[in-house]
Amino acid sequence: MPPKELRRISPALWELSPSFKEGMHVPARIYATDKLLAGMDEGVFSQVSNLASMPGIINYAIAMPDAHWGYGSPVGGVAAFDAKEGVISPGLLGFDLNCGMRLLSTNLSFSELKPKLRELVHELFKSIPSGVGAKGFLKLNRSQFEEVMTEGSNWCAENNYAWKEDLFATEDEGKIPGANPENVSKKAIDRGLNHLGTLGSGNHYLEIQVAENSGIFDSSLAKSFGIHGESQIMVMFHCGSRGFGHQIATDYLERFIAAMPKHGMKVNDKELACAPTQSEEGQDYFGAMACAANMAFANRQIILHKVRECFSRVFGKSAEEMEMNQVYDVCHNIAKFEKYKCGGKTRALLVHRKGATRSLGKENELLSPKFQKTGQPVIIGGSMETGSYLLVGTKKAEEEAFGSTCHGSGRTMSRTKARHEVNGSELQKKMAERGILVESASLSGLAEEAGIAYKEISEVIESVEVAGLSRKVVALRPVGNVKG
Amino acid sequence: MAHKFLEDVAISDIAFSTSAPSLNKLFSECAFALEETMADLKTLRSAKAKSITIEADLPEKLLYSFLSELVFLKDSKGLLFKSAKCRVSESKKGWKLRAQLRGEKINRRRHVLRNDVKAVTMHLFKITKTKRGWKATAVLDI
Repeated sequence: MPPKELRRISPALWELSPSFKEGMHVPARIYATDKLLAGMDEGVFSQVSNLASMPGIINYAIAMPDAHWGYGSPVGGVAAFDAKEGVISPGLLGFDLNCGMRLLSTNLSFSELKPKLRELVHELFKSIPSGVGAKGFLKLNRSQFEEVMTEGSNWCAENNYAWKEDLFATEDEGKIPGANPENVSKKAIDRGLNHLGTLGSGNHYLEIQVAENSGIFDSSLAKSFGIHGESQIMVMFHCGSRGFGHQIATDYLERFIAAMPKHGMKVNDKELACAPTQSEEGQDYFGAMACAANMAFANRQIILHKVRECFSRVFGKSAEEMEMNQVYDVCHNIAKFEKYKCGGKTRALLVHRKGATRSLGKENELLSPKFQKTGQPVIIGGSMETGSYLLVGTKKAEEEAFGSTCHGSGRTMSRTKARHEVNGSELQKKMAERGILVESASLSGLAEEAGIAYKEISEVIESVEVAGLSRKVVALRPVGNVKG
Repeated sequence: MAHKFLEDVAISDIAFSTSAPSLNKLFSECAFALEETMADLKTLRSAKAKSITIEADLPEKLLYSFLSELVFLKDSKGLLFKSAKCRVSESKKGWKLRAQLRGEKINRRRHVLRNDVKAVTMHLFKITKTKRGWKATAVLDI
């Protein structure tokens, strides 16, 4: 039940004033339609108000319509701090640093794919390791792995795992500056060495999707992004920096908790431990976080390379012949230095997004020339049963939400509850009857990802469109899924 | 001694609570809950033994470091454990854990695998003394 203190600001925007909880410095804002708000779990309101209590937070703490109870920050949380005077917090980014989404288009149609769908799903499942104990095909030594940490997708391009165009269609062109491997522990490297090119588990997946004519909301923009409809085959996947990023988050969370008294800082949840961005701890963490972000870009790039190989084997054509072009790659767990107008002045900020996607409008200097006239593609993964969306960023998101929007469906049911209510094997059969073939490393993990465990994606998308944080371009229908 | 997976906490992750008559058994049970999140432990053999020693200034930090070490061993060495015999002791220097772990390397054909635990979070992480012994709660990042 939403708190009675919530005040409506606009049709899909609500606010809790700082009087809601002792210690709040700024209001907490929640983007949601009435329907989504009514079903939002109480953890969201408690955690977004904790975000609003962070030292130096600017304007307001934000929860997106897909927000749900996480640890520290809600999943779907956004908070910004002054780039020089403010803080940085590992817990505000989530442990899976630079978890993100990648989307690619093809020139294949569903009628060409249908006879080979089962073979393709199996080929992808075999070739892209997922689940507990998965190891990638790359055997890198520590010095090569350090290059991945500093170079991200550029390392992939130099080693023939990327097309040049892929990098222009990746946030920050697949490389966050400031990465410093000296700030990364041996433990993190030990965990990360085997993980390049692996999907992970939980809500990480790879999906074959169809773009129907009826799913196109803006045909001009869709064409600009390489999507023409006509039952066009698309591929979307979701993963991050795997054990590597998690170890960095674990290492720094402990270090930040120990350093808080020295910096005279207090937070409402240990997971929100923070330090001044310009302090030694803050600088070291940013250098390590950038390493994890670059590893995640490389991870998704290597998976893309494997996807192209799988399609080539199954269809007997080259990836170039099938025009397997990357539409875009977005991060949704990251801290970035960006500039936004606050109180009439442009300020340099460190924007923390945990389960929130950057959503920049046209002509933003951070976008590559290809997207200057369109705005940034925003990839939103739905549940494996209900479909996904491609949106586009807006100026309003920049003006109102530090250039941010939602990142997915958002859970409504815990994993434990979903596992009790859904049988993974039966779910797999039922989905096959509905035309969605799934291969999963774990049937219990599959049950946890059932559509009933998630919010209605259409309602989440409606919320961000009504609020003006992004606009619908294409809805995508799932037909094949590889689950970790 | 028991552990229970919690249904309505940190819904995108997995939360559990454990209770035990002693700290030794509490640590063993927490290890069991974490490993059980990753695999059906009935499908694991006790083929490999590993001893670990961890020190911390508080029992809570000791448990956090212990569980984080198990996650690290899963990713770096590919090891899952079906049992953990734990000895927790306190001295003037602080708290110490000596754990004897038994399990084996992940075998993706033979083991029934579940969720890949990626981290132990500090969210709601606590150890409390109860009338009957000890209780702990933890949220695992999935």
